[in-house]
Parts: sequence; structure tokens; C-alpha cells
Amino acid sequence: MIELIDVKKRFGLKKVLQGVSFNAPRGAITCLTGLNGAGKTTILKAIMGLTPIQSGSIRIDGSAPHQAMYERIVYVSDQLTMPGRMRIADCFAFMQDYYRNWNSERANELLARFQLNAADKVNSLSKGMAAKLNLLMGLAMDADYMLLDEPFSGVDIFSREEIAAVFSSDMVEGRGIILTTHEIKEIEHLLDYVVMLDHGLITKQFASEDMRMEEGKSVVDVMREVYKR
Amino acid sequence: MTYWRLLNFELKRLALPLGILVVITTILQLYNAYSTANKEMDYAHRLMKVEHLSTMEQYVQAHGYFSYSSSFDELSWLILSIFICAAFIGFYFVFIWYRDSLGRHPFMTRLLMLPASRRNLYWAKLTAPLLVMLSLLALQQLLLPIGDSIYQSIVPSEAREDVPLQMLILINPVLNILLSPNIVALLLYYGTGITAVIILYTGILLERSYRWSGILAGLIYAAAAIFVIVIPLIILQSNYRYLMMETQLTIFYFVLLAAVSSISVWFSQYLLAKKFTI
Repeated sequence: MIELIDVKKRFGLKKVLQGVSFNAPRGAITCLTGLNGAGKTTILKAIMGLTPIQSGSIRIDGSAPHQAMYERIVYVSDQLTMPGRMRIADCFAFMQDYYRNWNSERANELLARFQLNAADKVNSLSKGMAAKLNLLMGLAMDADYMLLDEPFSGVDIFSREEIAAVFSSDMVEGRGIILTTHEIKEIEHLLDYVVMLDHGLITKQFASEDMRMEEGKSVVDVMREVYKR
Repeated sequence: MTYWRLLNFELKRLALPLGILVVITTILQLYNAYSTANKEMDYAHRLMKVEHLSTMEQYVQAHGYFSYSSSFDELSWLILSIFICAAFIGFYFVFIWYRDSLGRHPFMTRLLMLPASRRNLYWAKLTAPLLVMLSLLALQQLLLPIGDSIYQSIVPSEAREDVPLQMLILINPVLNILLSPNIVALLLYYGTGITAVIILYTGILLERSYRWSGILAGLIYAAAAIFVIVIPLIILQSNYRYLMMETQLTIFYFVLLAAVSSISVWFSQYLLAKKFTI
């Protein structure tokens, strides 16, 4: 389980996270939602040690984050994190060189599924193809947790459907997933937990199934209530 | 292992610029030897005509020998080629951190998430440009005798005074720093250069960790580090210079370089591991 306990983060004088606490269990999809600047991406980066926090603690299966955890947790940024001049095949070779848990077989399977060409250079990919490659590189690692930052951002409807289909496939089964997104329509039925953020504060967190059963509301209904106030 | 992989990766990225620098340096320096020799021969033949001298021996008696050292002029192609290489390496020491952090594809995010200590990344980014610099110095060592051979093939032996290459290096102030035959001086120059790069890296990592306030902190850190390093020079210029012998001052300087470098490396690695912000 990934635990955040009273995490605070400032950028200069601006408080980006003001005591955020939540748990993201393994085997479940936890969605962080919120308007721009709510602190969603900062939370993911803080978990990955890509931005230091001022106070609070982050624990992964009970331990503090450390460099070796990058074999167990994958962060899929909203931008491709490979040099633009690299070919997709070179990206795969790079990942295989550094990560013991890189699954080449799955990478090639996803390459075919997403109709990507291994000879294409990273900077020649369209936004949708880049998003698919990004997701592919995350899924091709045999990791326990995946953190996905806006996987649908700027992606056309067809690519969005392809990406959404992955979340209901066996490729994510058993993994703990935290994802940030505004666009949850396609994946709403797959979400287990939702954490709603506003200006670095958690305004509401709930299990989506409980919300449906007890209050008869969908995640989108709750989002409307919370953010349209 | 991760260090060697990262170093290999960085060197691969540097292969093309290094290749271009090798070609530019080779062409400029060999052309330098060729054109200097031809200019000198043209000049000698013109003067022989005007002064009605029939042999080169007569010319030499009247005007003296030619020497390859004349192609080491401060405004020569040779110095230009060294300047181009130095400017590139200087630029690359900064660029190596920013090329991966900025732009559409922030590769630094990936590098920071490698499942190994971030110290490997620091050492790879420090040693890759240094290895390129050493490669260019090796090329320089190679080009000097080749240039000398070209010069000798154009200027006849009776017209030239052959100066040993070591002497040529001593004559030129730039080569005297880069390829100094004095081992202490060489260590002094390269020790100072590498320490400067290490301080620069600390400044860059402060900026990458704290942005605007990091720039200020970086400048203050660099000023403090430079002040510590120049203490022996301040002593040398002061009334207390008689308190220490030159050898003692040199050792003191090396100790300070080692201390500043060690602290800066430790601090940089701390920043990269704990404070670096994407």
C-alpha cells in the first residue's frame, strides 16, 4: 500500500500540498481528481522522489521510498521521458539495460496492440502515439504500483478508448494504480477509490462503489457537486 | 555497473560533437602548418629575388632560419581550434544538466528514476565531458608532430631550425597550460579546472533544486569556494608571503583544491539525491 501522511509541500511561498493524507492499496485503482493546480502531479512526483516534501511522510508497503523502489513503482509522466532523438527500439533497449523487471515480451505485445513502429523516433510521434508509448513503457515493467499522470491529456477519442481498455485488461491486474485525470468518463466504472483535491487540500475521498451503493451517485456526480460549488 | 552504463550512454551522445571537433581541429591545425610553411617559402623566394640571392643558404645567412614555432602565433588557426574545443567543452558542462531537464521530453525524470544511486548519474555527467577533453588533448599531442612533419616537408632543412616539440609547447602560452611538461604545473592547471567544474555543478544543482533562490545560493557558494581556493595566492601577494615557502604554498593550494572539491561533490550528491526538483 502507498500511504501519504500529512504531506506538505511549498513552492516558494505557495502552499501546493497542505497536509495531504490518503492510502492507495495494491490491486486497486485510486484516482486523484481536481482542477488545475490542485496538487495532483506534485503528489505523484513526491511519491517518486522527484520533488522533495517539506513535512509529512510517504510510505510504500511500510517503508520509506528509496532508489531501489524504482523497480517496484513506475511513474508514467504526462510527457515522454526519453530523449527525442531516440527510436522506440532504443528506448526499449535502454529500459532493458537498467531495469531488471522490464518485460520485453509484454513491451512487444503492446507495441503491436498500440500500432507503434519500433523504428520511429520519439520526437516524430503524435501526442496520442506518445501517450500510448508512455503507457506502454510503464506497463512493460513488472511493477507492483503504477502512477499515471493525466494519461488521457490531449489524446483523441480513439486513442483514449485504446488506453482506457488497458485499465480493464489483465495487464494492470494485481497492481496498485494511482492516476490523475480530469477526464474520467471512460474509466469511471473501473475506479476503486477517488481522492478529490482543491488547492492542495483533500476535499473528499471515498470508495466509488460505496458512493454508488449508498448515495446513488457516480464519481462524475460527486465531482460536479464538489467543484461546481 | 550503472555508472559504466550511464557513462557509455553519455559518451554515445557526445560521439557526434566529438567527431566534429576532431575533424575541425585536425583540418585547422594541419592547414596551419601547411599555410605557415608555404607563406614562409613564398616570402623567402620573393626576398631572394629582390636581394638577388641565389641559394637558400645565402637567404639564411642574411635573414636567419625559419622555424615551426612561427605557426604557433597567438592568432593562428591552431589557437582558434583550441579555443573552439575549449568553448564547446565549457558549454557542454552546463548543457549536460539542462539538455535533459528542459524541453518536450524531460529525460532527467527517467534518469532520476533509475533503480540505482543517483551518485552514478553525477559521476557519469562529470566524467563524460572530461573524457572528451582528454581525447582532444591526446589528439593535440598527435597533431603537433604531424604538423611538424608537414612543415618540414615544405621548408627545406637548410632553411629551418628544428625546435624540439617540448620547446614549442613551452613557447606557446596556451599549449604550455594544456600540455605542460612540468608535472606539478600540469596537476595544478587540471586540478584547478576540474575543481571549477565541480563548483559549477554544485551551482547548477542548487539552481535545479531551488530555482531562483538556488541561483543566488549558487553564486554565493561559488564565491565562497573561489575565495577559499585563492587563499594561497592572496598570501603570495601579501606581506606574509615570507612565512611560507613556494613548495608549502603549492601543497597548501592542492589541499584546498581537494577540500573544496570533496565538499562540493558531497553537497552536489546530496542535492541530487534529496533536493533536485523536476
